[in-house]
Amino acid sequence: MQIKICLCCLWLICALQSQAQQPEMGLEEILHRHTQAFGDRDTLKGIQTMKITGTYICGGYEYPIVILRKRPDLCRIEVQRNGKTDICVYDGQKTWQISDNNVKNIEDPLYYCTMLAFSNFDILPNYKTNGIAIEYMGQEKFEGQSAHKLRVKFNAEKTEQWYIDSSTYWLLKVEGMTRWYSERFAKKTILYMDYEVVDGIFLPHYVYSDITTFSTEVEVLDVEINPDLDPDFFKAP
Amino acid sequence: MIRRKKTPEHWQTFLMLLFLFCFRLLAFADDWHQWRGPERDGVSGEKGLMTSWPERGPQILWRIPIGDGFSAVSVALGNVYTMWAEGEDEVLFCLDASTGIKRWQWRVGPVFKEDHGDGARSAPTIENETVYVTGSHGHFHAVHALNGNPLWSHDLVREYGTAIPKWGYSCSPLIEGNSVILDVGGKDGHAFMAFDKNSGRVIWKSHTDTLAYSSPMAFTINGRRQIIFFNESGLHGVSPENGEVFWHYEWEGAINIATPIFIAPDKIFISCSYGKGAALLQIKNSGGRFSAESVWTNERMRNHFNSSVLVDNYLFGFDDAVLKCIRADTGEEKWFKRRLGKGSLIYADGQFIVLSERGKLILIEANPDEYAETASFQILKGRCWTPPSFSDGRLFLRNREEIVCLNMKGQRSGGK
Repeated sequence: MQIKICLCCLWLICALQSQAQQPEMGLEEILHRHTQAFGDRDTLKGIQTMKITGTYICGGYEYPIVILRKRPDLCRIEVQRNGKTDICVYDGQKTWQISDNNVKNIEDPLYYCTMLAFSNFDILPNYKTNGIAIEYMGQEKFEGQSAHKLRVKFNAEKTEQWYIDSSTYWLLKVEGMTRWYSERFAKKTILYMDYEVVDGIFLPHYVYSDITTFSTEVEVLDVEINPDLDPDFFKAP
Repeated sequence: MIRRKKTPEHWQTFLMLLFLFCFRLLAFADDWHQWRGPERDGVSGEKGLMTSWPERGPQILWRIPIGDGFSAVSVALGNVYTMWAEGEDEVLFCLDASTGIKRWQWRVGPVFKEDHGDGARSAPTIENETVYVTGSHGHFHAVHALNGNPLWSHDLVREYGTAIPKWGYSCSPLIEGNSVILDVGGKDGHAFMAFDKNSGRVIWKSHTDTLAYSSPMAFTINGRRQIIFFNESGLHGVSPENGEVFWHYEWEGAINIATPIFIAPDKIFISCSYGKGAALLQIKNSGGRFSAESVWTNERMRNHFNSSVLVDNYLFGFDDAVLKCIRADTGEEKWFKRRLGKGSLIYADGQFIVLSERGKLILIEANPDEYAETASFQILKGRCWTPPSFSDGRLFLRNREEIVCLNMKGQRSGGK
């Protein structure tokens, strides 16, 4: 018994020492591991289009949602509510919202950034070519997990904090500010959970979003990799 | 002869009175006769609640379609009282608690229309044989609880200049002694008001301030009875005798909806959403001068429209859309559970009865160390923002379309 306890103590000391001796991880290494965690760079490059089908949950109600993504930086979101379909389209430069046949061009640069994050398959690995500046802020605890905190600067008006799980290297959380009721700025938190493998890449199957007190959820039911998507889906109406 | 003839009648009368007395005692012991239950704190004193249920859920005693609204269910005198929209009206309904059959209905006022849902927001309050009820447009009525006959009424907007807030008048009446108390939010010294519960006559009025959505509470803080109002400017401690404001704690910049919680002997927990958070306040009494001081504030428990429940030194509640347990004395987070939406909960017999925002009924242990779910069942669909009510072993749940009564008595063991 005493030998077992001694061995356990020895193992613990060695483990703590090896952890203490680990070199401080740099940004590029974190991003590399983050990319590997999703699959790998080649697998990601092989993804040209993606169709995500799921449930959008808001205020106690569930609505079918379809998210279409296509390289480079194209995105279309359709939510069916009470027999109508609300559509949000990002064509790589601008965003439109179509609701009740009303088309609204969204000029808000913050919205653009949100759509960019949604539409770009490898936003972090290719951050430099995406015109994004990233700064490593060190490790923080998030809900009991250790996470690497990144300061992600999209442009002069938009900076977010991204949290990468320090064991799985999956994206856990995004924090930032967004417009709320058109004028006010409010704190935004997005959580990415339930990672599952689809055709060799890991994708979150539950996304929780909270803007001040407005919380929404997306439960992913199905992900199709490289479906045929009509380019017209992503054009301005 | 006369004696022989009279004896059975005397016995009959005596037995009937005894029966009525016992019935009333039982009724009071088990009644959920106002907003958040007997003490307006979400806690039931009933025992014998089942700790698990079959796969199909607890026995459904009755289920009926209703109109739109968020009015909580109050239970008294063997009846269920709640409000819903019917056509262009907000209507108070009295249903038989055993069967759900309608006994009577009373028009409270015009229906309140709003994107999140139409109809009434507040809960009826029943005392003796009177129901006190407020509509979303500020109509305040006392009606007979057994037949729905009107007793007296006030129109808060017309009489006191109440400005109805964006999401409707939501204050549930509080009975304190001979008074029925409301946060009126009226003009020129009509913010807080006490009415004679029998006649409707104004007993006192005080302060000028803006309404929020919370309901008043009565606490005995360090030996002094006080009425607590949580309105737009914050928390107020007020004399139940004359409405004098003893103290005020400023809590602005948010929308105050949840009910304040008393932590004896001298602390009050308040919480709201919209990024604001929670605070534990200590109410101090220095030579008869009261003041409120913050013990802690944080953003770990942001109750949006449903309130937390205190059990021992722990607060269980919804931090926006995350169910949490925090320590009351420090605000330290103990555990959290996601994916229940902006649900609601009440406490009974060592357990919490949780209704998720999407209508899932869940039993969890009142355990501050971990989230321990013992049973769950999908009972309602759609937007479930109204907290459960529990009386005489029966659980009453509603959403915007139906009301359901479940038998929660019995079976202390068995699988999920």
